[in-house]
Amino acid sequence: MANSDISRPSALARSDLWVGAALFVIGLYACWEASGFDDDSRSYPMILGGLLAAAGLAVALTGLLKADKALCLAGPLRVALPAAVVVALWATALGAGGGFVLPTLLMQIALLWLGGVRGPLHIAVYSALITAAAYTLFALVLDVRLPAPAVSWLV
Amino acid sequence: MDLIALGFATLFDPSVILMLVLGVAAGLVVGSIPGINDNIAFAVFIPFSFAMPPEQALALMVGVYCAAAAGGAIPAIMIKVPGTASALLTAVDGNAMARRGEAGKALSIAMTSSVIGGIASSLILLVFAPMLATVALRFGYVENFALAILGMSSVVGLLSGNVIKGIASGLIGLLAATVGFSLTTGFPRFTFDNVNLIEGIPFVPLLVGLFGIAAMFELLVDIWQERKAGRSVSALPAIGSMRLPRDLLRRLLPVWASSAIIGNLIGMLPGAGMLMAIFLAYDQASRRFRRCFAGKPGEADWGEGAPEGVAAPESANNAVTASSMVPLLSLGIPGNSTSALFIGALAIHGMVPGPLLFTQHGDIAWMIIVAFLIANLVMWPIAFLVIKSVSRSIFAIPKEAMAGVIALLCMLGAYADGANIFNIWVALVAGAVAYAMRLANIPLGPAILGLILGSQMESSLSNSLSMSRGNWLVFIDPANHPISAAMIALSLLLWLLPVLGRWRRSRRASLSQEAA
Repeated sequence: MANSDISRPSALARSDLWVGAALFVIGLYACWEASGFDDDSRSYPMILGGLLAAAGLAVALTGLLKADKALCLAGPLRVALPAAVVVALWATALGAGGGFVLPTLLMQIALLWLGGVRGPLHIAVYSALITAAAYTLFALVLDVRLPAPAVSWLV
Repeated sequence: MDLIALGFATLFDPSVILMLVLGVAAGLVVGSIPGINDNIAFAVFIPFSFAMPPEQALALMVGVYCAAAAGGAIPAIMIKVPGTASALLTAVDGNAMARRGEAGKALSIAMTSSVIGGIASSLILLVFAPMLATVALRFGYVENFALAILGMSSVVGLLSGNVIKGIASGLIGLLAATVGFSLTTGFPRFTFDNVNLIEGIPFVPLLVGLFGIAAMFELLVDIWQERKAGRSVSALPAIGSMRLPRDLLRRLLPVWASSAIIGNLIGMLPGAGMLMAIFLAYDQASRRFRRCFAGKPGEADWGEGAPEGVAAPESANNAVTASSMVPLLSLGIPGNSTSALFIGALAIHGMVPGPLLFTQHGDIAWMIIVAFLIANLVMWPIAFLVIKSVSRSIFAIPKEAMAGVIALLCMLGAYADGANIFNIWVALVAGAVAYAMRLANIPLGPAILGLILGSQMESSLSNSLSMSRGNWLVFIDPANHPISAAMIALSLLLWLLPVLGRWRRSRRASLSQEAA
């Protein structure tokens, strides 16, 4: 797991410092955004935003004061981020009228490769099987209306 | 007694009992597929029931409803992707058990716990349904707010590490729950002019992302690290033996009992939902585990494969399935989103849930109650057959190919909830956020609970305060709101007990040091 890849970091590389700072900013932003709501709708999210900012500040300070550990981000950046990009491209293709089968086949090929499957035959067989099984389950069995293609010859 | 006999007589028509058994098998299979939650499973089977006589149709729906909640534990244990939201805590200890080669044992505990929780709840439903409905009627805005506070307090048991991060996680969930129209004035909050957010962040895609997509990222990184270290990629856990030793059964008995009671109490409260029950049961089980077993040789840490961590949520979630029928059948109020779909199934056959259901369609109303008992009784052997056949085939897929399977099933499951591409984006963003939270050691449980309880907490708070003219003491008024006062006191206890325990331990340690 990612948590096992840890090392002694410098003050600025401590994960809690950045996590706390991010929570602090999100909390302050929520407060600022909530200040534009009407009188009866603003107090609850403002209180929550303020508390989140305070909690974020506490996490950041704890991270600075304690001998915190930094997480190695190599795995997430090398594998998880590309996987997220692949899924995002797939969603874009579905929304842009690319049909279901072609974008899904391409997504499966990319995810199989990221998952470490090597050999064109293996990748082709697995991606075709997974796409066909998902299409059968959702479109034929569960009767889900899958995103429509822009051109009629796409499925 | 005559009415219960009437329920049994209606159910034991061969075609009706066959539908119940088919519903149980179908619910288990559907629940065991990652990405297809119990709402989708239920919605899929409603059209099938159109052409059936009402008793057959409702027997089928009871079977699906009971079994889908139990089946969700299978992918939760095998690949850490809960098949249904009710199995989200089962994934923690269940998957840890599977990773150390005890998948069969974890699955067996999950199924046995589900059956025990379900049977206990069905018996209570059978005997006390009309009486319990009057308790549910005493829940107004003040009690609902106190209940939400009690639910949020149950996260204490989950915060074994950094308490501040746990609180921050809960606040993130509560804040995310404010997205959408304000419940009091209708003002759009944090919607960024996106119509898809007007009713809030879609819940099913959100849960699918938080668990399924985050699990997919985790799996890919896991494989990458194994390859980088020069190890061959380990296979998914094998199911193995499902026998439970007698001493483990004895050890889990108190957990099953307390979790079934929690599931029953929470399930019969209108709007409380299954997730609050599993969090409260999990919290109770964690306290017992830390008191009786933590630190003993051969015992895993809490959250690292403790059997109680599987037994408590599974027993509680199936206890909720039957007890959520109390407000639904007697008052017409759904206890959770799936039981809301049950109203649709009844309406299709011309029945309106509420007090009149028992007078106008007594045979069907009592058959439904009896069907819950029988569904849980037949679920145990069917569950073992499903695990040995269907689940074994699903999880025989190579680990390297599983990431693509999880991603596709979860994304299509999210999309199917309204056939909206926006849901896919919600699931992807939620998955990325959940994965980032895991990397930063921020527990996800409190955020989920905040998301679930957020709107209930805000609406009941504002309504209680406007009814009491801004009097905050209304929540602890033992004369007019004794249930609320008791729940607030219990919440305080949940927060104070760990502090008192730590203080007692440090005092004992310093005394023994002085004595030495």
